[in-house]
Amino acid sequence: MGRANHLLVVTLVILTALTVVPLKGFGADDSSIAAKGDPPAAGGDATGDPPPKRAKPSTSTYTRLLDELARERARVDELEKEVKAVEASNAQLQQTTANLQTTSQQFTQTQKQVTDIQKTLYSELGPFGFADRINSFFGQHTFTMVGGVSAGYYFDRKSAMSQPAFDFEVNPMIRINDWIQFYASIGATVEPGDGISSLGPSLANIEIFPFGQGEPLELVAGLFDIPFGDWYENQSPNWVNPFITAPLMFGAEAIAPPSSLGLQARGGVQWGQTGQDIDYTVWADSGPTFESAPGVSSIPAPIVGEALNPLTGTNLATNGRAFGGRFRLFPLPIDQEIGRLELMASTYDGKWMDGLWYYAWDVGFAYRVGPFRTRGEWGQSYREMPSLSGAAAYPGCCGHDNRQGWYVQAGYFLYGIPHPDLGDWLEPRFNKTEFLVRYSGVNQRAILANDISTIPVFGFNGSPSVFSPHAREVALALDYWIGPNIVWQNEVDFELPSRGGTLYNFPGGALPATASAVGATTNDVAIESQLAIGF
Amino acid sequence: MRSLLCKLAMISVVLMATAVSANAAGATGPTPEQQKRHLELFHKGQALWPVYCNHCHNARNPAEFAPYQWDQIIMHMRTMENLPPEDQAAILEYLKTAR
Repeated sequence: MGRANHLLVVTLVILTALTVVPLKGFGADDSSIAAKGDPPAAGGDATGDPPPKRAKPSTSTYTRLLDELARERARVDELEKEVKAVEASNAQLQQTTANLQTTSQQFTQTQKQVTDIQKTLYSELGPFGFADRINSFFGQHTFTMVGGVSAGYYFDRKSAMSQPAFDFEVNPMIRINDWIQFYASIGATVEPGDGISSLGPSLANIEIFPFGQGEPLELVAGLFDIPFGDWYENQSPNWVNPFITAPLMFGAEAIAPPSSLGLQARGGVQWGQTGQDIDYTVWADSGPTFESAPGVSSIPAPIVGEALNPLTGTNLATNGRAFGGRFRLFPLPIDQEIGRLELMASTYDGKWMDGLWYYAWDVGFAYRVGPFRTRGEWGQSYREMPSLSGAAAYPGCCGHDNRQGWYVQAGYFLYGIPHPDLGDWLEPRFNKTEFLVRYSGVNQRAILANDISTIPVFGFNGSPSVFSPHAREVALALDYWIGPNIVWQNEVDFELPSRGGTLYNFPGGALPATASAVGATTNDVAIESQLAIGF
Repeated sequence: MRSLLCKLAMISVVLMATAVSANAAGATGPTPEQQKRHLELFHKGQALWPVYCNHCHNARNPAEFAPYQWDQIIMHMRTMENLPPEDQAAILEYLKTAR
């Protein structure tokens, strides 16, 4: 028992010592941060040692502690500022996000409205609500109607006739998708006394992009203006042609048919800088026909000098075919701003009337810069005539039918002429006025009396004296362009035919033909005025 | 800790805003590359339009026809004038944008 008591006392002493020693350690550690003026620790420790003498902090330590405290406070201030800045930025971002969401919703709403408007346009626009009808047949497509209309008046001195004339042409376009489109042209000419002289489709074809619109190949199938030269295809619309009448070689005494039924392949590529292009057009069609073709004329047999039919191959069995090609070069880059120049060559060759040869070729140019524009062409054709015998033989039946034609024209907008200020009323009208002049001619062996008209025909001929084997015409025009596609045209045609050649006639419309020499022909003057609108 | 939370919030907000704008652009609007391409085409078409069209007739006002009509007319005029495909695209971009 005594031993046990002894162990208990020893154990208590050890525990007391273990308890007191850590307390002493903490006390020593805490001394370093004791504040100035704290009383020193009183009394001894459990070990009975005298209390350690606390070291008085030096001045440098105190200063260092104050500096650290100041830095910490500054750091706290800085962090508070950063927090406030971040909070402000956060609020701004939240506002921006809200705005973006609102904008996105508005954009979606606008897009939906645009889609609805497009649907409305597709379904409701179009002349006479025709689009809806076509939609029901062809499905999704777009439809557009363009064209031209003109009203005019002419006076011809030789025939002493003056009459109004009205012409309109509508061109419906039906776009099936982005690689196929239908195009047509339906026109009519109305004149007092003659009524509606023509009404029907002059063009009806399908434009096909077999490899999409990204490749330089298009196909045109159907009835089209033949790309022989530039006139028929590009210059003939009444609001495009700056003159009221056509050059002789593409009008009254054509050397190639204006339209044809067949298939074209065409395209263009850029070979140099922007604007430096080259293009091609090749085609095959049913061949040319002339007015002696069975079923369309009272002419009993083919004859030198007869006119080409305007609608080739649509209702005539020619038993022939023809091939054509046109190639154009545009050598000037547009960046140099020196105008647009075109150099062109074309040919049209084939058979007519069961195997007789027909050849034609043409070269031309066009140039436009600023207020000045000019263009011209020179071409010729050759036609093999049949060898007739017996009762069908007549003068002019045989040999060759050769024709040469040319024209050159130039125009100048008056705004290019230096002039003083003409005032608010006159200045714009002066600037929209264009003066033009054209010289054209045709040479051929003969002319057919049946073809001679006694009145001008708008878009075709000026006055009847052009129907001579050696026709010459000078046309002066003054155009006032009310808008880019609205023009008031005024033209004076001076017919100056040369003597020579043969005049053929079929008395009573039957064989045999009679032939007489063409002497001096009265020089005629025709005056025309026309308002033409393209739409 | 508060600073870290603020930074995380800021980053999340930025990411969300970016996602919203990217979604709006990607779903319904042109990308910057497309916008740049359209701008280049527009300027090219602006230069080509008067030159090419004046070759035959006066250049028409782009506002005369609706965009879907220009789609049709440019198909026909490309056929008539044998326009190079890239020039056709530029002129069409100009006509549809300028109106």
